[in-house]
Amino acid sequence: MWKRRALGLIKWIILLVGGLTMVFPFYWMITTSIKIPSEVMKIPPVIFPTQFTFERYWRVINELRFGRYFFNSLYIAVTVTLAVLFTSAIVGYVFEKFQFRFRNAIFLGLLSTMMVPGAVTMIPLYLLLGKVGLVNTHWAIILPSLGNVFGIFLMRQAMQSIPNEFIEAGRIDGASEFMIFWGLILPQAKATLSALAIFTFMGQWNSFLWPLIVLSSQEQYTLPLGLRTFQGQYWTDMGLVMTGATISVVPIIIVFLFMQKTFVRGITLTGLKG
Amino acid sequence: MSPVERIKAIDAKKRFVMAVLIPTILFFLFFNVIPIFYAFYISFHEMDFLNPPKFVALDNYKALIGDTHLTSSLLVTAKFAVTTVFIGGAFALFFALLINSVKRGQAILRTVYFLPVMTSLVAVGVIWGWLYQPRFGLLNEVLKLFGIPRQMWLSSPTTALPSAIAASIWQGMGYTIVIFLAGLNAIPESYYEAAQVDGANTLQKTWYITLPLLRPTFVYLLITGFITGFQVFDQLYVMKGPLNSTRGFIELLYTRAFSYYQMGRASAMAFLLFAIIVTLTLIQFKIVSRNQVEH
Repeated sequence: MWKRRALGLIKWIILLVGGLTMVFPFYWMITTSIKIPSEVMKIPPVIFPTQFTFERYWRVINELRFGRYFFNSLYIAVTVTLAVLFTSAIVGYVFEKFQFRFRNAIFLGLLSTMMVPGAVTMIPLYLLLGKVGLVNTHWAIILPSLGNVFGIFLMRQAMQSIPNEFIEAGRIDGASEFMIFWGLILPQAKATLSALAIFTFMGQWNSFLWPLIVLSSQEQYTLPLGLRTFQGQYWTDMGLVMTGATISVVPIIIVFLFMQKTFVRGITLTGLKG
Repeated sequence: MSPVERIKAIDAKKRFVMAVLIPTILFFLFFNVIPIFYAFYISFHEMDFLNPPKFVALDNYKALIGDTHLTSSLLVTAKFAVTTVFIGGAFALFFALLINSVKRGQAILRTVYFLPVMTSLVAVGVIWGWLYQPRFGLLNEVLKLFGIPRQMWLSSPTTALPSAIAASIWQGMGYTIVIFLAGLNAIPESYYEAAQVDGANTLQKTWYITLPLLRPTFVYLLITGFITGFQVFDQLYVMKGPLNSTRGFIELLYTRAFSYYQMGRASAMAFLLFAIIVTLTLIQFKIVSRNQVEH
């Protein structure tokens, strides 16, 4: 019996040490951002600060444009998420519930584009968007993200469990095809929609390489770009850099804490990496 | 329904399908298909922003052979992919088994381990850059407690890549844990009960039941892990080490395309990466299907 208890105790100690390793860097980031300047680089480090300052937040948001970056990130992520939900759902619905010629061929064609690494289309897409004058605008990020093959695939799967009688009933009642989709079908796919929503939002919020390529003026920057530039400029003032990091990390973590059930179910449902 | 009404209804259906399908096809044509062909075209040309494209046949592909920057960046990328998949995977499996074995607190543990997954890789790089900071960073202070001398972490060419990889494993482990937990949940309880009757201990149960039955999860993680691992960019770019010690394949491609305007060469590199990923995936599928065991 005591052997079992000891084993259980060791298990928990390992899990707690692991958990602490996961959480501590965030704690360190937040405390660094609110420590008084003399304690930020103190040796030995101040683990539990007793004096706080919130002055850096004001500076970072107003003077150093993080308010602007935050708004840009939010605007892009929300737009893309709403659009992807709509396009994925309606296209997935059409592929699952309608018969038409070349249906499977077209669907396979869409799926096969997923195999091509982003690195291949990055350069031509940049040149094409440049030709239509969209480089260095948020459209360069939003437009290519509007159609999402993975989202279509996911939504098609979700449509399978919706009985066809539903659609027929709607038609007999005289509802238009779009109203059937919007009013009858969409509400039934809520679970998958919310999983797709979180993944899309997180992916956009954290996206770095493509914005780095297409955005050149700081006015247009998103949070990851702003943070990266910021790290280069203010590497001597860690309090300031950690304030920027906190501003870009904390919102998404709050969203996650509120929606984590949907999230974890979504991962096991999709096996998708953000 | 009268025949007229029926025809109208068919028409409405058809119109709806067309209204959805045509924009979809146009979209993927413009944003996926055309760019792929265009990339292929670019890879046979010398191309920058200023001059008209010049046809150079296979020169861009020939230049890949013996390109030492390319081989070193490929080596960095391969090291990254292999270590994150195997070492990261081993850690994740270890913690997933532990989390799965406790009776209470599973949900909160999963949440805690998942937090870094939500965080952008840029922020992860910035935070770990601070922890790794050689003079004032916390990590060296912790080492000091154990009498270990100060390390240079990201500031030395020998330790930069392992340090960046360690931070990446920290970031991605929660995702792998959640996938493992889903796989563990799918194993029927009756298998363990039968083993219990036969007098198997925990270690034997793990070795003879859990691990073999997790096989689909291993295969999935292995294949997707290599596909994403070979396309790593963000964390290596942000946790940059000296002397290109953390410069991966995508960073080299990005630099050549957008800093040196060598669009043709960069496009040839992109197709090389495509070929590498496809080859690796096929080899993995081969190995996996050859070693298929029946349960």
